[in-house]
Amino acid sequence: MISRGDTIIIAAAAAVVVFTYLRFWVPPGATAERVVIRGTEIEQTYSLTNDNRVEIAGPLGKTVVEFRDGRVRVAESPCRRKLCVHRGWLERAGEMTFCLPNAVSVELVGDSYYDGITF
Amino acid sequence: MNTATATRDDHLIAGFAALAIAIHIIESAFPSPLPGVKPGLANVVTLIVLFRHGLVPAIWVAGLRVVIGSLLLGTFPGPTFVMAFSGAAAATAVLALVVGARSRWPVHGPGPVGASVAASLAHMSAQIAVAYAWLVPHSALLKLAPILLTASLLFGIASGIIAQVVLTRLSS
Amino acid sequence: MSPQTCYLRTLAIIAVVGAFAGCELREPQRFQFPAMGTLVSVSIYGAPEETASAAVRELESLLTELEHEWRPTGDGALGQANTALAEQARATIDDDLSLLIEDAMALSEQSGGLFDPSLGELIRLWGFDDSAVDDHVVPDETAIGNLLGDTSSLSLEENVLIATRSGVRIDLGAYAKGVALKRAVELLKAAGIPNAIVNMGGDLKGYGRAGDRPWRVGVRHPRDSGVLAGIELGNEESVVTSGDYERYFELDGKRYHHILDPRSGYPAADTISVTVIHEDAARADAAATALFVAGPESWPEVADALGITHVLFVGVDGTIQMTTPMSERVAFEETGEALDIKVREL
Repeated sequence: MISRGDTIIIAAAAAVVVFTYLRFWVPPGATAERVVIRGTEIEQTYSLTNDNRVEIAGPLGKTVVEFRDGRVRVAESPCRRKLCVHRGWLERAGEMTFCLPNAVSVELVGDSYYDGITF
Repeated sequence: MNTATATRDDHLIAGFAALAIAIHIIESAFPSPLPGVKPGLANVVTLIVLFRHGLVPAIWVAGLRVVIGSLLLGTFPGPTFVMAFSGAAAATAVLALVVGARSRWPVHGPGPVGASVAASLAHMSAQIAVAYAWLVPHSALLKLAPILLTASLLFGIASGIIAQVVLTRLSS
Repeated sequence: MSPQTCYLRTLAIIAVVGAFAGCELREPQRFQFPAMGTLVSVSIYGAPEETASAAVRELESLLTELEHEWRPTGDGALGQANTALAEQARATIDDDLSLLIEDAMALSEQSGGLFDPSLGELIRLWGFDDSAVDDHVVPDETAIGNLLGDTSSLSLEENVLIATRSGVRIDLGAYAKGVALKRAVELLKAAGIPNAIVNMGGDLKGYGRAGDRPWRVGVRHPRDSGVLAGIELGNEESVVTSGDYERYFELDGKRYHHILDPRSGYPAADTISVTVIHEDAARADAAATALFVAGPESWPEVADALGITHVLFVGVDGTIQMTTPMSERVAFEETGEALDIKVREL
């Protein structure tokens, strides 16, 4: 049923997928410290420690990002399908959601290079 | 198709396209765990047309599905449509290569599963590339690439197997 | 080879490659909780998630207990001892606290009294204790003078603390964090955690490694936000910083910070920050304080007396001094800023 050509294609496809893991994969799990919100023209970093509501203007209108108890979510979006809203709360570094129609992304990041800071 | 009357091919394309559009719309009603991930079962229809009737009818079915489907869902001509269109275009280009390989090596060349996997990955890669280049040029999107491509690999294998089973049934 | 076996073999190779790639890329698990009057964060590598989170819960309750026991006020062991010292100039303390204070007194002696655990009353006078006043004032000069004495104002024998003058209050300050770091590491090891680093409000101790790399610690830039330099931590090493930016108030354009010079009773004026690497986190903590107080001229003698070889000293004029061993360990961040760095022998 599966021909040699199928096998070659599946192996090549799997190799591509493995490559993307090596190249792009950032595992979630680290405690998030900051939120990076990007829109068409802005890129801003917020602390996760304060409860907050941020409005970002996009081509379709306002996307509202809500911060509460060290977590963050897209609370309101002008897009039709609201996939970004349905993604729900994000709380670990590496987690993200985005709204393609309104060109907004919300990403949680931790301290990337150092394991700790002495001060 | 140079006459005003509908040919056998036209009927065939219309029928399969209608089926593909129906699956497309039903699928879009289900919530997705991640933006951009869905099973893409409508592609099963494209694959069946490809292996029974050839490349040209398959392109028609896929093209009609994308345009009419997005008109019905109200995404035409927004970013969602552009994404769907670029994905479908890349998938079709890859399917043309697969068909070429199949006619050169009828026995060992790729069948529905290989075609499905190749098309599925091409579809997803094109969407990621277009989204990154045009809609959200943020590295955050690239971090999702592994997950999105893993999903498209698995769904591609699944669609391919379904298409293979249906094709075997139809020919027996 | 049939297509099927070829297919399976390919999949197996991909799975193995993927698993190895996954290992290399795995990041430490991080946990955070408030304790010891600060934010404690723990990074753990190479332990199953359940083991790690169970160990961290255990650590959290240990540190909560230590915070209670070692707080200068309240009804913990040290709080009670301070109350007794204030009332009767003597206090009977338990073995644990006794060992702790004995070690602190020994370090104080080695530092020539620059690290002094009996400054509690002075710290309170300045408002740098945990009673956290909002509007600080510079205390009255005679009030400060009255609280100055020498380290022999405290003696400890057979679990009995005796204050040889009035107004002696024990405040272990950062030294308590150092001891807590040691105990935290012991607890994590006993809980089966193979690699970890604990950050207790800017004082860190690590053991093992983060997979294929050592634990990395950034030294905070004492004036700008961001990192001045990076240090790769060896097994069992701790790195500790005393800085004038941790707790301070400003009055008439002058900064008054929490690191008080036991000789004058005023904040030590010539230092911005001192970073020390040493295996013993408690010694490192006491030393960072003592070297801070010693200032840009005499810190090397104090470091030598305390057996500290790795020191990064930032003076109030922004100049950086380092010991030779430290200069081999730090990597300064590229900021475009011209740094004035001097390497000194002990």
